[in-house]
Amino acid sequence: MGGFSRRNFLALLGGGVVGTVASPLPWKLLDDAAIWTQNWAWLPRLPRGPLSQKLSHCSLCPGSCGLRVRCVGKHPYGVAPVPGHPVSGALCAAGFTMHHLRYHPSRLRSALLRDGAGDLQTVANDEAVAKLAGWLADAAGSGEEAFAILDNRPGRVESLLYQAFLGAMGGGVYLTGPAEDLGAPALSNTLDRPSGPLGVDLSGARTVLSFGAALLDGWSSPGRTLGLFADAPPARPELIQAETRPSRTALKADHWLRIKPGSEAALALGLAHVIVKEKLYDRDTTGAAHDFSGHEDGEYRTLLRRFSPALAGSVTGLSPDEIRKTARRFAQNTPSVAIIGADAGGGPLDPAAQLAIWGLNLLVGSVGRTGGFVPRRPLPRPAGWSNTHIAPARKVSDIPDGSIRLLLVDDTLPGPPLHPGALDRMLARDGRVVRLSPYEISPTLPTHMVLPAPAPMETLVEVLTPFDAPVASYGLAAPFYERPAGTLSPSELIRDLAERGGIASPRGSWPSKAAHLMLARAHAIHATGRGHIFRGDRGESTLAAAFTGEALWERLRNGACWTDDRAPASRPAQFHFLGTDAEGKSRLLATGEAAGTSDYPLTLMPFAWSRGAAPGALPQLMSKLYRESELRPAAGDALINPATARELGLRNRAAATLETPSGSRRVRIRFDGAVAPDVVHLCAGPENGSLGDEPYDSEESTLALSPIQTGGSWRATPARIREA
Amino acid sequence: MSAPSAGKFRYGMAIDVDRCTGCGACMIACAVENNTSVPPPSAGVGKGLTWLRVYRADNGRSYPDCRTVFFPVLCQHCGHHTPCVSVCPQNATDVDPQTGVVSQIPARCLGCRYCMAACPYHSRYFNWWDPAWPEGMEKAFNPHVSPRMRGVVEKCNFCHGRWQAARDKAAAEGRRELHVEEEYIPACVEACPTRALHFGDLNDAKSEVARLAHSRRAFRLLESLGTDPKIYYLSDHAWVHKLGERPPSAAERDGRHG
Repeated sequence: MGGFSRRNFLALLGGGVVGTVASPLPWKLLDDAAIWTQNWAWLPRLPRGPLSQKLSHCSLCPGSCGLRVRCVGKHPYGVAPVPGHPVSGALCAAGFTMHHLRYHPSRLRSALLRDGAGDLQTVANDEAVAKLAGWLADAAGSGEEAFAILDNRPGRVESLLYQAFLGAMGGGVYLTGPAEDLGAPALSNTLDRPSGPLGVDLSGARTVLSFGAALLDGWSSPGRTLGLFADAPPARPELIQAETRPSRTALKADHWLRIKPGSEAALALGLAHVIVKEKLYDRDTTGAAHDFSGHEDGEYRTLLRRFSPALAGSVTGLSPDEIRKTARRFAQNTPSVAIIGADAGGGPLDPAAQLAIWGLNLLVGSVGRTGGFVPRRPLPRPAGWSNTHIAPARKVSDIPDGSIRLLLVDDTLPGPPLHPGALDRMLARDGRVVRLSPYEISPTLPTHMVLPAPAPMETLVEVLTPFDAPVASYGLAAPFYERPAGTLSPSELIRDLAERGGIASPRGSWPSKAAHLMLARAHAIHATGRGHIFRGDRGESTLAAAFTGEALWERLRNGACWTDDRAPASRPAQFHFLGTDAEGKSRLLATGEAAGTSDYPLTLMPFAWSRGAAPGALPQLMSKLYRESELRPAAGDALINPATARELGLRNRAAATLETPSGSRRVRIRFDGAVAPDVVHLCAGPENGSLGDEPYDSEESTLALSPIQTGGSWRATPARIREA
Repeated sequence: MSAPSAGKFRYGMAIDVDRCTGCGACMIACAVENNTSVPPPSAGVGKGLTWLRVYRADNGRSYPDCRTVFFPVLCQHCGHHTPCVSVCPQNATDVDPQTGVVSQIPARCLGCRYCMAACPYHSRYFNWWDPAWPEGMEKAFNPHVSPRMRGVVEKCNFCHGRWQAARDKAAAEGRRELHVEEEYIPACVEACPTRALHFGDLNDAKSEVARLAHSRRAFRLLESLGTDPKIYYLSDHAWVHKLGERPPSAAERDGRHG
């Protein structure tokens, strides 16, 4: 008989090991370790609470899209569109993550003031506002029109407060930011009377000729426009996109006219040539008022005669046949509209081009008719807020050079960036810029002070009529969060400055809350007796007249949307193709081919997606579209044709230096076979720092490379590029 | 078109690439719905977390003959010889026999990434880093979806949380049947502004998605591999159908932007 020997022990041990491995135990331990390591105490816990859904609107842009906000307890956790919403029943990518903006890493909770060393330092809000009040008193005392407020979202009740404050102060200037519009000022230039607000009835049109408008990528209310063009013709208008850049709209349009940079006016005149020559113009309007034999029309006819399809083709890079086909398509497949586009990074079209494009609309009779451009009644103002005692809206280009000593910029709601050249031009040498913003400011923007403002979903905000809408609309973006202590709304800032400066309101007192004025506006809307109220939870509209004023206000507070009735449309009786403004007329008559230079053989065209162009915070999840997928280009991406790049010795994805006569910047080359030869499309935004998880890598704005030219455009600038 | 599965339902999608404009709303809606984190700035495109990713592809011709489409690509929820399920050592991924959905259970995943190597569609994503959210943002999380930690793979699960919520609602109303097209709508489908995405039960001949999947415009990605994906793409153009037959080359992936 033996005892327990070493061999037994080793056999037991070996058997135990084999048995353990063959058993589920190690796999269970692995499993449990995986679960355990995913449940550390520091990991975020999901919110708990009752689930609910509330209706509201998105305030991230003037598109005024409807929202369903899903909440757990009181906190939003998701956002969805409102099907059937009369303004916009879908959302853009940014709208889905708007509830995250409150938590953005660059969120400001106290004021910043630039110190002597040039750095922005945190200061108490009270100290900052006191300093601002001092600057304001200095600017007001230095002479007329030395203080200006730049409003990136005009038309709100806060905008009225700004205008009233400036009017009461005397000598202040109210400026509106470079928001996109339909080019109505250029139309007014052709009419004997200024045109009132205009909308465009895209759903009624059969042909849309767009000159660079991003109809399929963020134009106006993106949900509405994208939904309109989702089907194939003839269920929706035929889309012709005249644009140099291979934008999403150009690539997905029914026809893309890839014109040379800056040749929009030549194209419009070439098309008009064919329409007049072949007598395709609308006889009811154009034919009745214009037989092209009078002196003024004779000048227009002479201009058109010059722009034969051959010349227009040579300037635009299109074939004469393409020009003829497009003109016939536009003039015969009516109602048709020619839309003037503006690029969020590339800026507006030259005024001469805008005038030429309106000429096309007037020729085919699309102004004042269903399926064309229709008049729209303005949104009612709160009672007692007429134009008396308020500073009128002015254009930045009208401000004398170096005249502004203090500029207050309202960045509470995102808007397209003002060209740095425009800002530099109007600021005095010792001029100061104060911004009201929820977030830190990009170093590319001159800033001397930042006052912290509420973030989206922290205060009640008006959402107004989108610029292209055929009828006025009104809704409210509801607050879902308590706003942090220390943030200043525009109405609070104005009240504070008025008290410190002893500036009395001509209407008795400065309102303590903008909501009081919004209520007054709701009553004014009710008083019109017009329009419908849409409730997203029921998907139905009711006549607004069926409600009392208070009930209408309650509906609006709960996410309903008011839309006006259509205004009667009538075609303009009298118009002048060449415009009434002598300068505009001479620019139009001088339309011709832009000359390049041998030192700068390329043409730089900045661009940006409208939701990515606004300086300031971008919701962090938008990195899915940029860094994590490159679905969209970001600031510094230079799109170039591979053949052009190879001629210049450039490699795809290489770092390069892009130079223009105005400066240089490091860029990243991106090959794109759809880009025209000898053109570089440089993305102007968003900047990498706007996601909040890394610093901005440049203090130089991309737009600084493209100076503003005569006429206010910066679409095309001579450039050269070399690999770094 | 393959035979219906043994399960009662076979959830799938039909994506009309002729309608897709590449706006990216579906990508963001998906990320919000699933509490997806944002990798650090140093992470390149290859280490992003995009359960649904939209690619741009074109026909390789110059203007005026150049044409572009945008392809939303997500987990294809393969029905046959599911490559990822076959290789997972942890049973962290499986095909639900009742719904046909290929699930992903992060709590079981040990991060070996065999499934990522096996997936021919590159629609699985690995958490290379601990997720980092701005302070307080956990209050804005979707309460139906657990966030994932470093070291696990994640992918589209057809918004499982929404399916569960729809089932709970149906049960509360005493129903066993889901009204899929009204009650169970994945976030991406809900978000699409051009109605390019359709979701539903491919086994239900009356559903819109089944009708579209049977149309002559329909094709599937890498169909020759025999994975029987439940995502059908729709296009009128033959060159787009050809794109589905092979993965894009590096030059095609790199050369397209904007």
